[in-house]
Amino acid sequence: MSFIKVLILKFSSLRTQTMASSDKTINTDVPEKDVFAIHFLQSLSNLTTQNPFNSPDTTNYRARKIKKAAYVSMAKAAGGSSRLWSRALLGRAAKENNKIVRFARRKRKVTWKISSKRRSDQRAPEATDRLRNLVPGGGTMETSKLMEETAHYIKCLSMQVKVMQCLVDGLSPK
Amino acid sequence: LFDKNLSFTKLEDMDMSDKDEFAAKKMDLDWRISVSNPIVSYPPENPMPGPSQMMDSFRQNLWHDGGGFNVHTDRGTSSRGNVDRPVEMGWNMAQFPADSGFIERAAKFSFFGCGSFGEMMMNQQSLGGPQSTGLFVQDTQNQIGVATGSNQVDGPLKDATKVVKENGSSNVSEDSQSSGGNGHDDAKCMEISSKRFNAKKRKRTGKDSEHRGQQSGEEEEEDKNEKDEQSPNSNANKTNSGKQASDTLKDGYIHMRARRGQATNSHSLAERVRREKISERMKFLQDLVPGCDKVTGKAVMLDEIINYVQSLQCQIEFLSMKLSAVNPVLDYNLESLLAKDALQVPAPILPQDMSMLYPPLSHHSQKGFMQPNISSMSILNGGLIRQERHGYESDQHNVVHMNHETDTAPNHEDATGENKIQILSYLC
Repeated sequence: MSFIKVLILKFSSLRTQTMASSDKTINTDVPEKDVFAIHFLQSLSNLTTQNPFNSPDTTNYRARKIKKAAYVSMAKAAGGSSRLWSRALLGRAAKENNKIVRFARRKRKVTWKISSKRRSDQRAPEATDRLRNLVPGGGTMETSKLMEETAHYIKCLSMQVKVMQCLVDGLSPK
Repeated sequence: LFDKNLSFTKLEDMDMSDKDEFAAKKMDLDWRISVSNPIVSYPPENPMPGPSQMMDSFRQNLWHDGGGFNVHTDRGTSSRGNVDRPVEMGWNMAQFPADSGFIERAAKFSFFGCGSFGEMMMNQQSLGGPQSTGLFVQDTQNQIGVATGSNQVDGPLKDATKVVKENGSSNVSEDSQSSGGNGHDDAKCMEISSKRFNAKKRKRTGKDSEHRGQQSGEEEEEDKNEKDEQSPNSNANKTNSGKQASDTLKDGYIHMRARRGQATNSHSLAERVRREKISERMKFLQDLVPGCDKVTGKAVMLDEIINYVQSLQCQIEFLSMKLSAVNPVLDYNLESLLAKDALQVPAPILPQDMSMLYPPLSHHSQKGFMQPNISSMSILNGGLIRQERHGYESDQHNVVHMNHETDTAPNHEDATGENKIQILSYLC
């Protein structure tokens, strides 16, 4: 796959400014855009090879597949199992495909969230709960950890959106 | 601790009357020594409606009879013995065991408010008899039954340490209130204790911390400057520089110093650490989310963040739909594509797919770098069309024509990855 390396070099000259995290205490670095792009295209090609010659019925079905592929590729590109949300995403996707993927469980500090979950019914639905629903894997995170994951998730989402926008722009009729 | 000891020894050198003053003041303000058998009915029994009033009257009485303590020279062994017993909540049972040694210790304790009271007690114990150290103190304000019914010497000692530790802030507050016209010693005491209060307490033994933990919840709302026990989980403690013992908090926990004028309750301290963490991350998120620099407040910021995340997810969904419409299949198996179905003409669904080939061709034809891209693009689209059979173009021959015409793709065998990358480089 040396040609890919060559092309990545070419690509690097063309790529736009990437988001670099400048925060010292919180590390929310995301990989460059081309990583996202490569992963996405790979997933798309996998998608096509999965359905070689049977055409999906509706655009909706295809759209959903592409969306899933986008999320999975984003999770992979953003650092596999080093982020809680990516692990949750990949686990969810694997469950959908009836494949069990288990990552090595990182050492987790004992948090008070576990005890507070029991009396979660009494608490009024807060905004953090909505955020937990949005961010994958946010159900059992501490709030500070949730914020970190949200930041990284936002960065990766925007990167993925940029990649997909580029793709659509390039392939759409001018 | 040791400098406090020095100050206490200085106190011992002081006049007996001075000590009495201090002892009286401190004792009447802060301590509640209840014994079952009234040895010294001193002051005379006045009807006491409330604890503070009683203390005030005590103080007045004691001031009156300044040297009264010296009168009662009976060792008060019985009182000591009674002191060892569990505390009773009876207010009108307040007695002051009249013993010079006791007064010494009381004076020493008065400077002590908190912190290494246990060691003080140990010192006292070494000085006097074990009985005399059975000071059973009870917080005046809180009226918490510290007594756990231990009759041993160390029982009351530990209880005393507990209560006095909790009393620390109340001591301070009352000291500050009452030290208006007092000598410098009081001021010193206030300084010291206030310094203490602004620092988190030391780690205690587990047993003590349990007790304190229970009481901490009760006292939390009482006094702002009240020092409190560690909670078992959040050992965020940092000792005062003066203290030497038990600086053994290097156990991986975050060391946090309570700020001046803020609650030093361990619970609230941990809460504050957590809140600060969350706010720090919220600030970081504020930089990420566009257009949120004017927004202040956690709730609004959270709403903005949620909206942004939702909008990003919607964008992804929309783009994926668009992608599925525009470019449903990215297939790169060129040989197979070229081999078969070259002349298949699927029904056109998206005729514009073919038209897109022309603008790229015309637009980028001058760039040599783009040529393989275009070829790959066309091949790609050809493959797409063939693959999908959705019929993007009716004039398939155009495709074939272009395929043959731009058949300069360098690496057919590696076309898949290369095409991907090339497409992307061309696009973005």
